[in-house]
Amino acid sequence: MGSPLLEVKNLKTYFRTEDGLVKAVDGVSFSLEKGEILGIVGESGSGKSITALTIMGLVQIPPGEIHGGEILFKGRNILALRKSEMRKLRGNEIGMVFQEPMTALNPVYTIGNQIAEAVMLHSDVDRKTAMKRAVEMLERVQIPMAKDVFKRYPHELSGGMRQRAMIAMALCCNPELLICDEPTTALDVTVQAQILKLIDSLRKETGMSVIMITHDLAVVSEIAERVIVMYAGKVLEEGPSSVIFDHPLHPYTEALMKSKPVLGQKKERLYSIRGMVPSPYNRPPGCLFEPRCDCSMKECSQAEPADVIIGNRRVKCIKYCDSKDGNRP
Amino acid sequence: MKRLRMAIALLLIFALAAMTACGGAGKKEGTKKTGGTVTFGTAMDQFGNMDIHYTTAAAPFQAAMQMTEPLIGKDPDGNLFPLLLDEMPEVSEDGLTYSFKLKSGVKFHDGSLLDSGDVKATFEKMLNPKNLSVHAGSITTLIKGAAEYADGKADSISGIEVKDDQNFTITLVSPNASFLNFLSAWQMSIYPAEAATMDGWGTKVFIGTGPYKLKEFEPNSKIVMERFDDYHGGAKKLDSIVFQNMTQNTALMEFEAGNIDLTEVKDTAIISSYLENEEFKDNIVMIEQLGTIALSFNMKMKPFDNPKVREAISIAIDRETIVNKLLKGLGTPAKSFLPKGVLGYDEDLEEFKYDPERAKQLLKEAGYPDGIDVEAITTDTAATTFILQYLAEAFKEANIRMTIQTYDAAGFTDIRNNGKIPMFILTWVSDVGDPNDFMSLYSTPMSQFISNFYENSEYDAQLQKGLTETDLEKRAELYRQLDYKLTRTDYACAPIYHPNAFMLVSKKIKNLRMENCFRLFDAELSE
Amino acid sequence: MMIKYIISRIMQSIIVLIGVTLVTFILVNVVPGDAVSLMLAKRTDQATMDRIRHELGFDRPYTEQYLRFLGNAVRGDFGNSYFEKTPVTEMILRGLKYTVRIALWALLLALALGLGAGIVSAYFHNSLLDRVIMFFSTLGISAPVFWLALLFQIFFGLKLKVLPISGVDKPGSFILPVLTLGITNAASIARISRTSLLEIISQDYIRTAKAKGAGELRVVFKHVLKNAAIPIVTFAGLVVRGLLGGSMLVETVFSIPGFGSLMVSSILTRDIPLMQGCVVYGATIFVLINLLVDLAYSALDPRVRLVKET
Ligand SMILES: Nc1ncnc2c1ncn2[C@@H]1O[C@H](COP(=O)(O)OP(=O)(O)OP(=O)(O)O)[C@@H](O)[C@H]1O
Ligand SMILES: [Mg+2]
Repeated sequence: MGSPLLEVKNLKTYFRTEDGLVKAVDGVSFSLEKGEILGIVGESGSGKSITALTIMGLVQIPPGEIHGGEILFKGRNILALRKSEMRKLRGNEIGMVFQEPMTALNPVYTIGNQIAEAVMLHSDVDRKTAMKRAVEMLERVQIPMAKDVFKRYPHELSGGMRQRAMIAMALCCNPELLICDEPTTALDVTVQAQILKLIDSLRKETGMSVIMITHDLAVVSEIAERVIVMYAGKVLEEGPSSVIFDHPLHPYTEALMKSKPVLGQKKERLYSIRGMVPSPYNRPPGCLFEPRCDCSMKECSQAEPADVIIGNRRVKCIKYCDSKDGNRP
Repeated sequence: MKRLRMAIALLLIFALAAMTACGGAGKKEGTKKTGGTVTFGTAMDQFGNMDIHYTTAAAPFQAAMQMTEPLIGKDPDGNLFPLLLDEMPEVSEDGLTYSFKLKSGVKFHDGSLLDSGDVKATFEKMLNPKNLSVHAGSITTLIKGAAEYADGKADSISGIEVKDDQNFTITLVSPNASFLNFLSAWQMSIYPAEAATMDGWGTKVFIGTGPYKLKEFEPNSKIVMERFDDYHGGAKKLDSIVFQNMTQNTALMEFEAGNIDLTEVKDTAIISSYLENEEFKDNIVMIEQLGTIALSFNMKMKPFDNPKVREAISIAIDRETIVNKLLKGLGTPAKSFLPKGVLGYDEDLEEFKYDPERAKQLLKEAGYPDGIDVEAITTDTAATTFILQYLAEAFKEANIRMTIQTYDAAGFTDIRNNGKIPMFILTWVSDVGDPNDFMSLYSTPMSQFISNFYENSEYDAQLQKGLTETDLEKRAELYRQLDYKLTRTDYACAPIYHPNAFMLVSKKIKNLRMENCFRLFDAELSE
Repeated sequence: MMIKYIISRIMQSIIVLIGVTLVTFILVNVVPGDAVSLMLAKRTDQATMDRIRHELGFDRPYTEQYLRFLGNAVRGDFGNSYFEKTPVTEMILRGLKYTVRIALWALLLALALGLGAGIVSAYFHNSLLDRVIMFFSTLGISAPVFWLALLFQIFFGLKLKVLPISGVDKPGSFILPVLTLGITNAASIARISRTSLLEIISQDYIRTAKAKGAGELRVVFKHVLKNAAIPIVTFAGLVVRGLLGGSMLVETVFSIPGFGSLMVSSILTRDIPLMQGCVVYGATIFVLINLLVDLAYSALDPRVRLVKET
């Protein structure tokens, strides 16, 4: 493998609010190879969406501000791109699928219109060609009677259909990177599985890379090759999905695992992590998970632990800082 | 409503103050000049048609007075004179038949000559069974054969007989001393015979014998009249007279801006603020009105069925204070129902004595030792509500607890017609000035019409006598007695004051007298 | 499908109008008290009243009167005004000539000013400019039309003497009435459009549009405006109705012989045929505006169509 498709280095996205500074993304780094699926998990508010939106260049500035870091897409730092260049990238080379398909589609235009718009934005084709392409895309995301659905308005479709349409829209320009921000949370279980399968098969077909954001660990373990675990704007652990959940290194990952609902069983969480996500304002020094951690030590609250690399895994916990296997980056 | 009006009054006073602060441009008095236009700003809400046969609203009358004429005129001092006649008509021995001779050479605006046929046609138009005039009532009771004609039972009015082009007679049902006065009312204006059949009469065409003729009429908007050079009394001086529709407040602003020459001011607060304003105080012109403002009772309702209660209320009214404080002297305290200037008015009568203590005593005698609770009714547009509000306070002194109910005009008319008003402020202004106009209001069954229900056969009989008595001295005495009976014996109503009208008149207008007739036609302009 | 919807809305409107004629008829004829005596509020004797009642057909059975009234109303015939003796329809059209002219210009002004201010305010929201605009719009909303009209008359007419205080036949006569009505309504349009624009801008589908790579102008003109237009059109419908209502006041203050002042004077004088005509014409205009708003609404918002069809 050559250079990665996407490399995020020490990314910091902050929000200035009336109540203070919110460090929504605070030093996130990861990389993504061509054709790879990367899962991002973490509790609500941990900064997953803001990470994705920062990559897309869709963070509102102000109140947001990119406080530092780099996002290298195919070797170029896209944070330094001009607005118009970034616009050419969006929807064209990087596509994105959002969580709530009902509200993510414009209610006053037909599905076809909205997909064709995406086509026309990035290729110099006439309306007819764009519409033909839109129907093709709808077929590709396995929508039956695509020609009919093409003329429908969002509210006339089921949730699963809408999400397929969203995917069709995100993929119509053959992006090299697809970011899915909780694409299945709003859907029921059987439809979830279909959508995930669809994304996976489309990836295989096109060779694109996928970032799959979710707080549903089952989804990640099913589809992603590698996973990063986020908490309070930071990456606490990273590793292959095959091992990370069976042998979590970070107490947070372990706690997340325990709180994972079992597929097919009752929906309520059997276990939830005690305590609350720390307030985004005035964060104390040290590990932010410390107040909720079952194995916290007195050093935990003193300084933020450094990343420790253990084989093909990475973890940010004081437990591993002195480990013989680990070495500091 | 009251508050809104106050606010507007205040605003206007501010505007006035601002104007004076700027220093009004001094107007030069110069040499008299004929011609020119006088513009009158007035509310023409109820003014879609100039045909005064079909309205009782003031504005159409004011316009018609410039364009049409009745057979008999009335000068500013109240004296009758032949207007379309050679001389005053002769009355037969039995007082029933009047012989008229038309002045020769009187032209209508279209150039045709006035003849007896036009007179008869005018009366028949008013009584047209298919399109009855609102003034038909008095005609049908006065003139022989009129009622039959109005009911469609006769082909013509038998009481009006055309002798030749210039001579005709009118025969009455019974002798009536106020008949000539009645003929001088402006609604008795003579139209050409064609008026009855003409399309758009009163809107597109309106023809009379008056000194000004219609040039332009836009309903609810404006009337333009121009000088009629063939006027039988000699052409007047002004080129044209314009009526512009506007509300009171707008009219005041237009006047201050110098865009109109004339407007009536109705709000006492505004009148007095103009009177105190250096620039405008000389523009205010007072016109004595033949009218009375009185508190009228419903004699069928408790406690007003008791004459002692009515007397108590009457003497609990402090008329001096109302006129001096509330009206700022812009009226005359009343001591009778008849106003000064009407036959029968008693110059020497003593004033009503304000005496709340005696009022209390009277109430006690009437069986109300703790005083009475009464309700007065007014409309949301009535200009006299502030008097009720004052009285509600002042009456407490005499143990009279009065509440005020406000209705809209329609609701008020409705309960008035149903005889359900306990007490209200009656505004009675006569257009003719005959004492019968005033005193007959309390006859049977007329008094029902104002929810009063005064029924007194002696009163009615004497009223009838007044109509036939032709000796002025004797007639005056009859009405003097009637008034005394009404207001000082039976206390059927409690007169409060006689109102005056006020106009804002541009200083360039000369010769404007408005008593009895809205004499814009005599006006002249000086620059 | 759209056609089916339009037809059903038109049918609805017709039913509403028939209801209006019935209510008008009942109000005028059945309650309260006697119409003719109200009409001739001044001195008239009973006999004259009876004769006029007969002449106007008020002595016939109510059902017969109503059917005749309805039959004539359908043909736009409300008889002659009692006082003006002119066909009611002719008078109303004469009045509408002024009212519609003022209302249209005022609407145009209100929309241009209101939308402009609303868009600017939303675009620079929370800035000083936004606050200034919103301050004036609050002022404009809370200022009574009557007061504003008076203020304009005093300022432009009396003090500066640049515009006529009242009337319709001087040059510039329509400016103050249009300004009065336009400004008060612009204020509320500015507020509504700012709110709805801000709400739409924060919607998910706007983010989607941006994620597609759409530029700012495209996002605003294609995605934001059409959605924001839905509440704005609804509100504009209200504004038009408000303009017709407001015209009564404004026409009175500025002495304009329009539909509003005609209606007011028909009520003041109890000119029954005119009153009936005014109510029915007024209601027809309201119903038509409602219909137009609903049609515009359903053209803008596909969701409405579905709901109404099923
Ligand atoms: N516009 C903003 N202004 C202030 N704070 C913001 C803003 N947008 C996001 N945040 C904050 O940033 C933090 C991260 O939000 P983000 O949406 O990335 O969480 P998430 O991990 O996607 O959560 P979820 O699972 O609920 O989607 C949160 O604390 C949120 O309150
Ligand atoms: Mg999220």
